Amino acid sequence: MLELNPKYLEFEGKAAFVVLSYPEFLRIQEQLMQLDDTQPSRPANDQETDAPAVLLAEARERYDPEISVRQAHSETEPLALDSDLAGSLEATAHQMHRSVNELVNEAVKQYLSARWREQLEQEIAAYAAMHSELWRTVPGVWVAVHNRTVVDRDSDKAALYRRVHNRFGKVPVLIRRVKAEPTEEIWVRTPSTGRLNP
Amino acid sequence: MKYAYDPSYDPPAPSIEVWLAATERAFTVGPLRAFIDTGADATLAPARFIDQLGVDAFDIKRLRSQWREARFVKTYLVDIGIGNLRLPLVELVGDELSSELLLGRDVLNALRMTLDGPKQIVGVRE
Repeated sequence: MLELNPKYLEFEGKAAFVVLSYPEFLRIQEQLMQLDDTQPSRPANDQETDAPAVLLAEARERYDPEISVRQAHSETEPLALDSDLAGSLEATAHQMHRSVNELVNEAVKQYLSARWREQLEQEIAAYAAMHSELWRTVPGVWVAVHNRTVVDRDSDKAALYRRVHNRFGKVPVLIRRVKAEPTEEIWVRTPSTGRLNP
Repeated sequence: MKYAYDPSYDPPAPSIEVWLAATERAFTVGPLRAFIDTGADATLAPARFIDQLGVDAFDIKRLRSQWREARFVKTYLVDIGIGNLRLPLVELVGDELSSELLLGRDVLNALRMTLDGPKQIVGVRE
């Protein structure tokens, strides 16, 4: 049983919101995820009590090698900064009246965003290179490009998006409808909206 | 659903209230006033609203104005809420410069809408 120290916020005389510390929230989230992982398998377990067991890692390898690859990559190592970097960071944070954590998070966010864009641009370049062939063979179809290769396609954008999202997770995958031109343009024909205080 | 024209434009502009969500998640950003712009191919939102959703860029495209000025913009896949309607997987342009949300034809063409100019009311049928 989790030990929690909740604070209750009232609205119109009744408890309406609960405030927890972040570590408490993380512990709850972890337990819910564990519960979520085990629940769907219970009915199947009851029906197949005598069936031969297969290790989870083995099942992953067998049924979806990409999941096991992602899993291996997701085993995180502890975060550690070089001592001179940590010193510079503390000095900068002090100078900017901000916390070291804030700066680290902001820097990592910027780095990941730039890296994401870089990868997306590579997929866009790959799409442009493949475009004439795609336009000849699958005009009007939605295609997904990952690692410079068309990895999936569908006439339904939503179906393709869900499949790609489930298969690859949070990595840049370009999804585009194959149109006559390789480069897509968006037109905005309103030069000014006429807002009084833009 | 009925929405009054927005008087912060001169002349007052047809606009409605929208909510934004990461795809298939709860609506967390809104209500936001959105300018109805039939001249825009796509829907544009200030980047700060998209940042709040925590979504990653979906594509990079060229944005052009009627005077052929062009620049590259990032797009994001989001769900848009209007009243009880949910429009899934809308490709939203992230606007780094403006503070206005423009509702383009990608969204408008999915709606049944009436503009009552004299009464300055926008009607959206659910």
